[in-house]
Amino acid sequence: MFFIPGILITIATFPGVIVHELAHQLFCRWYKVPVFKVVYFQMANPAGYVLHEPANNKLQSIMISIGPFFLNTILGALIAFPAAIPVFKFDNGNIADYLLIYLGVSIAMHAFPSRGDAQSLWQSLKESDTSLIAKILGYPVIGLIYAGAIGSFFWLDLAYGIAIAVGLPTLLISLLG
Amino acid sequence: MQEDLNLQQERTDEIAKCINCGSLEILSGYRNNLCAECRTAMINYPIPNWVKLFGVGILAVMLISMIWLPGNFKAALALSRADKAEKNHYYLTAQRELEVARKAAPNSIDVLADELIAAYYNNDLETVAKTGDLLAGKEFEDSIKLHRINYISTELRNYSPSDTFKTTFSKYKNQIVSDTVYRNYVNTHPDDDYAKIFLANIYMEKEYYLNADKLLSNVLLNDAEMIPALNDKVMVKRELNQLDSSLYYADKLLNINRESLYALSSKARTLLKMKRNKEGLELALKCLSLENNFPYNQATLALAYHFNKYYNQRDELLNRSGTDSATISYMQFARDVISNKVKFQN
Repeated sequence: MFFIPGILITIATFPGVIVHELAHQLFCRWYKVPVFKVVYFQMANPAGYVLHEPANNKLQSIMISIGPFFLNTILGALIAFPAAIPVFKFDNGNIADYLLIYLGVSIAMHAFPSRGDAQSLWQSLKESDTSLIAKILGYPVIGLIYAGAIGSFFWLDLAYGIAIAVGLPTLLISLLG
Repeated sequence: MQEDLNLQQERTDEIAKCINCGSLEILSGYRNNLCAECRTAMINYPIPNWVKLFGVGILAVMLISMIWLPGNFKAALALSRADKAEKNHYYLTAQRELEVARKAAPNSIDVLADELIAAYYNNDLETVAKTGDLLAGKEFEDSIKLHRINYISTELRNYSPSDTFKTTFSKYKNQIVSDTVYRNYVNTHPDDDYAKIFLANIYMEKEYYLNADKLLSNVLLNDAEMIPALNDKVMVKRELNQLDSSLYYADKLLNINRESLYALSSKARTLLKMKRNKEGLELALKCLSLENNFPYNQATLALAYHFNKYYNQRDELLNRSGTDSATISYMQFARDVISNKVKFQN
């Protein structure tokens, strides 16, 4: 068994990192939360981050944390979907198809919020003024984020990217076909 | 990754200032002291041009994907439906779905192979030849599919004369060859199933049905699923008035291909001959619903209408097909039965 350093995978899948950070920033802008710094991509750990003021509304905090999960997932799926069909159903893919699948997987595999996102959400939720609903919604999300972060050691993020970009089209076709 | 920042407020006795520009006009009710201008500026934290360009690129790629999506999705659904149809031996449906899939993936080995298989069971030899040419020299990853293609190419040898057959009969060019000559050839070439079926067809034309039946049985002894022999058996058994046996062979064909137009229509004729008129009509109509331009079934349907006393529909069908050259010969049989020139039901 060989070991591939995570940073190499992150570099190889940099489009997903940029989309992830851009999604954080756009969600901040949407909820009118000031942003102090954005690093879209760097060859270090973390590969990207957004510094922003904590949102006053806890649900907004949750959304800022998990926004990239939705955006990266949807974008990754939409980009890879039509390309996955010729490659995996017709065994007839061309270079453009493989490029789209690479891009789709890259974006989808960076959908998972990072441990930094979880910490940020944790800080926000443990404040005394946090409503019960926000806690009920937020803590499971934090748990899932940590589970995902642990799972990324076992390539869960890559598996997720492949599942979204390749598995989803296959599943939909077998269900609808 | 994102981090919430509660930027350290200056703990002095001085009046609070904007942490960005030092303005005294800070907006209250927020975690960080920021003036309205800085707050607005930070909410709209600038996105660098290269990131905007990158975003536009991603959106453009997504747009291209969305344009490709409907066509590819439709083709993939067609392939999926074809797979299911093929697994359940509905080869006509399979072939039609595969034609849709092939438009999106004209060079897909899997699609071509599946189309060849479906076309073979539908007796569409033109498509078999076309797809076979496109597949020539291609490598198959699917060993089961390869095995099926090899089986079909072996079977197809019985669909055309062997070199020996051609050489033997080339000397009879423009001459009428007697049955005896063909029978002698069959006797000296017991492995030539094409020759046996060829001779069986000559016997059928001359209404020597017992001889044809014997030859066809011999062919099926070697290869129980040989489609041309099974097709002929249904008709020969019907003509020999062995109607249950005719149904047996029709069902055998339908077991191979549940949408075999010939088997459905021929079975309908046998049912009509058994005076099971309603069932015969239903089957002929089922065949029509699968393919409305199958001349043999047009004639079967005319017979079915006739025996079910739907004379208007029968006459309409006969009139409609009167000018169609492909249907005329088949319809003549129906006309002969209707006019009692040929006795069909006992």
